[in-house]
Amino acid sequence: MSVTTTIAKRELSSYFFSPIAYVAMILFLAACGVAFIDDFRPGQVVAMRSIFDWMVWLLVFIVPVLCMGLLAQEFSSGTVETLMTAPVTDQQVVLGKFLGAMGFLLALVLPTLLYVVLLAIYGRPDYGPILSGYLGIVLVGALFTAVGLFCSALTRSQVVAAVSAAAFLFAVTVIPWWVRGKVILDQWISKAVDQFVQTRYADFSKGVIDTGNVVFFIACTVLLLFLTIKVVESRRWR
Amino acid sequence: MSQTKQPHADSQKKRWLKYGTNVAIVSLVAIAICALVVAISQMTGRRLDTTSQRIYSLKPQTQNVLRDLKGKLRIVSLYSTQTKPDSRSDPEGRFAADDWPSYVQTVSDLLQEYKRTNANIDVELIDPVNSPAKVDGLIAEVTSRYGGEVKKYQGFIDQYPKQLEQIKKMANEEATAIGKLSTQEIANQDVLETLQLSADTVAGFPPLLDRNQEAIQKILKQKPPDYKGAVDVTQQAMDTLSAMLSQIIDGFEKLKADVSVPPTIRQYMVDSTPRYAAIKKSADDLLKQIKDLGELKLDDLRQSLRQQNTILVLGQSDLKVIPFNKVWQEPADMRGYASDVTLKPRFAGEQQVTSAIVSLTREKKQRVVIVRPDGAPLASPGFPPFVPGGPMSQAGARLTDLNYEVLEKDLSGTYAMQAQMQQMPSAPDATDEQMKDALWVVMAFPASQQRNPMMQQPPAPLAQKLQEHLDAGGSAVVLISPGLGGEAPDLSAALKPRGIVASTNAVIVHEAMQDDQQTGDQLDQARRLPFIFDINQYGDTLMTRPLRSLASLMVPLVPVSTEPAKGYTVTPIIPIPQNVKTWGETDIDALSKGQPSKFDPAVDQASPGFAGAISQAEKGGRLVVIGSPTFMFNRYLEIPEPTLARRGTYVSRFPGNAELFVNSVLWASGQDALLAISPAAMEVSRLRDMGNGELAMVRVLIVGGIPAIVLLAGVMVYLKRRD
Repeated sequence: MSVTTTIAKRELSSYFFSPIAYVAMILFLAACGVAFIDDFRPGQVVAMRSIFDWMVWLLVFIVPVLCMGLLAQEFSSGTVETLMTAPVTDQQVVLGKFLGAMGFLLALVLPTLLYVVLLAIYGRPDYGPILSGYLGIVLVGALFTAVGLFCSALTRSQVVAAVSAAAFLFAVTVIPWWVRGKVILDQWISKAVDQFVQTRYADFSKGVIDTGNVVFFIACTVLLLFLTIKVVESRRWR
Repeated sequence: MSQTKQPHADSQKKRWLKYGTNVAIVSLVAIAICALVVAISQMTGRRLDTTSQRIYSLKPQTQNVLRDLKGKLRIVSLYSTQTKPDSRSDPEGRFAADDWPSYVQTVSDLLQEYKRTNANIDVELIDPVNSPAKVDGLIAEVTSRYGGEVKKYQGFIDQYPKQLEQIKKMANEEATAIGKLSTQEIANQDVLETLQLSADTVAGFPPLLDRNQEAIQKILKQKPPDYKGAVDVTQQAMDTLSAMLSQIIDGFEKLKADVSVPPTIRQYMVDSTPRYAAIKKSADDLLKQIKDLGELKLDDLRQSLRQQNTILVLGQSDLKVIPFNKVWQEPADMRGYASDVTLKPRFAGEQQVTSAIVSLTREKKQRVVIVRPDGAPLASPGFPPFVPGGPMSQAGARLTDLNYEVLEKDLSGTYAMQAQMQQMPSAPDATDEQMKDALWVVMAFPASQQRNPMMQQPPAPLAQKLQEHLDAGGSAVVLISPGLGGEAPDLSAALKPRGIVASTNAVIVHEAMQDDQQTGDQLDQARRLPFIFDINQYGDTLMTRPLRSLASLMVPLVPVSTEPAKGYTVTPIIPIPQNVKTWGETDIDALSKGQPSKFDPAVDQASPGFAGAISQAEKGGRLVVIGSPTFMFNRYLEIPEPTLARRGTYVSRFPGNAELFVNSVLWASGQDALLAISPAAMEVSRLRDMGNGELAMVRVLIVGGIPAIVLLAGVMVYLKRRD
């Protein structure tokens, strides 16, 4: 566990030395700020629902950028050989990198707690939906990070990793949402579309914690981490 | 070299096959396990609504309804973020443009909860402005689902022009004939007017019908086609034509025997009457065909698209349209409670959608008859704001929403007669046949001495009628009144055999509360009066259990007791609060004059235990007796919760009044599945007012400040690492 923690800490600190991470953070917070002030007017409902909805759209593009170098960079620079010969298992490497990226994601979201403080100053926020919204963001962030890590494990090119992860996340988040908004669907297609990210996340953003949705995000995250481990392992026998 | 490479290539291939297959199988198993875990969690999952008002949790009544739902249902929201109610329909500006999306979202969230609760419900959110293609799809779906009616209308519209042509041809021929008549010799004004009417009718109608045809073609090009509107245009024309022809034929019949009329004119009248009758017959035939067309569901959809922001509930064979003003209800008049705030509309979406589902899925519409001794109807809705509804119009509306047919019966028969004499509209009373299988809500008020002089015999006593109804297996909710200002009807003949005794000679009172400080609002002070009770316990029965701890205001209460009755299960309800001394005061007149009451053990009833009872016959009839005659009147239901009223939100202060009445009707009519608290109002917190400078500062901090701090941190890290 200490090895995993060490790798996670190293990854996390490397983010704070990376200009790309800062750029992503600035863009994310500026976009969230714009979304927040749009609803921050006297007489408006004291809620963070729209900001939570916006966060997911932003994470679709920001997480792939943050995760693109996690393994792809190790492969392209050859440092993966050093890592693999060190006394660490593939699981520890993947889990460490995942936790490091998640740590940065939390750091990314942390400043938005200031919005909650402002809502408390100017109104009487209902804290339940805010807590569930943040829980949803953490779970969605974990899933997105796992997708980014998986794509990063598949290629040596960081650009390919970022684009493929963004495309995948776009496909499971934006497209089902768009389809549902534009077309009348058969009941079974409608049910299938509801299995994707946005519909499940919408519950968290409005203040409903459904154990089915929690299990979905955790299970999919674990599955992707497992597949990432298998991809990393495959370098030993390929 | 090649000899050494060959075995290596083979071994790599083998390794690929070996490990690759292994990884593929393990990965597939992992995916399968993941899918299984998600599916199981989905099926057995729990939902935690973290909002303080539990606004995303369907209320128990809805859950009961959805639990029993078997067939497929489709709920469609036609709310658009771009079509906020205009100033005409929202003069007080309750729906601010900035806030409007939250109203749309609230409806969307509610419908998603229905979908989640029952797999048989499909929900579609269609923004008619943004997604016109989806609206077209919906129109096609509704047209095909309720196609039978549309086909009838289409068939009529296709074939009626032939009949119209025939009418036009006959009218044109008649116009030619009448044009040949000379009217110079006619001195009789009636003859001239009748001939003029004839000429105008036969000459004027063909071009009018042509113009109507053009209008109809335009109407049919609407989306969806307004078949009903097209038929209405024809109906209006035919109605007018038929009426004018009747007038002409009557005039001819009268004048053709008049010798002062020139012979040529009289001959024309004789000859032309059958021709006019033929035209009239054609018009009447068309009218009959129109009448036989029946309702058009597509028209409901068309209306709902025109109204904007409606919800459609599509059942197996019928659809319900829930208009905007039913979902977002105007708050009750709260002058005196919150005069300085603009009240937000009350969200009644869940109640409306659930009621629509009940009405679409219930096999038979049940009938409730409100039986009163005399006087004006109690539950008539009126025509607000011009004609106020009856004193229990809200309770009547709640029952109508739950798919009950609500009728009324005036036992004295005087009101209908008086209304007729004053030429006032009056809904017809329930017939004896209608009352047979209905649930009776008996208002046991003291009857006035008025009686319909046209009635040969005085009406049968209420007790006798009620007894006959109950003996025949019927059910009833009886609201007992004390003998205030007249003799209260003695219903003991009907109630006693069923184990219920109502003491109409007494009113339950509590000890006068001494409070020099006179704190609280007027209502708090009123509750200190001895005959006013604030009830929040209703007894432990299937009917009253869901109401536990809901507040209600009861003025006055009549003691009701129970005794064993063979063949009936009798249970007392509405226990009288025991935290103060109570008794059944028999000096009702003194009480009504505001004189202080004191317990007199010789005549008063000591410690009455209950103010209601329910009795269920083994054979199935159910009886509810509540010792309060007016507790469900609008004046009690409309009292707002003052704290929330000051924040601009209407919530009933005594929700128990309406719930007790509705649950009584539901239980007595055997609708046990619906026994629950109905959906309540919702309340949200809003941002307080702030100055422009303050707002600008916050905005700068949010959009510029936080990213700037991150940028600064990045620059500092960069500079430190460079050094």
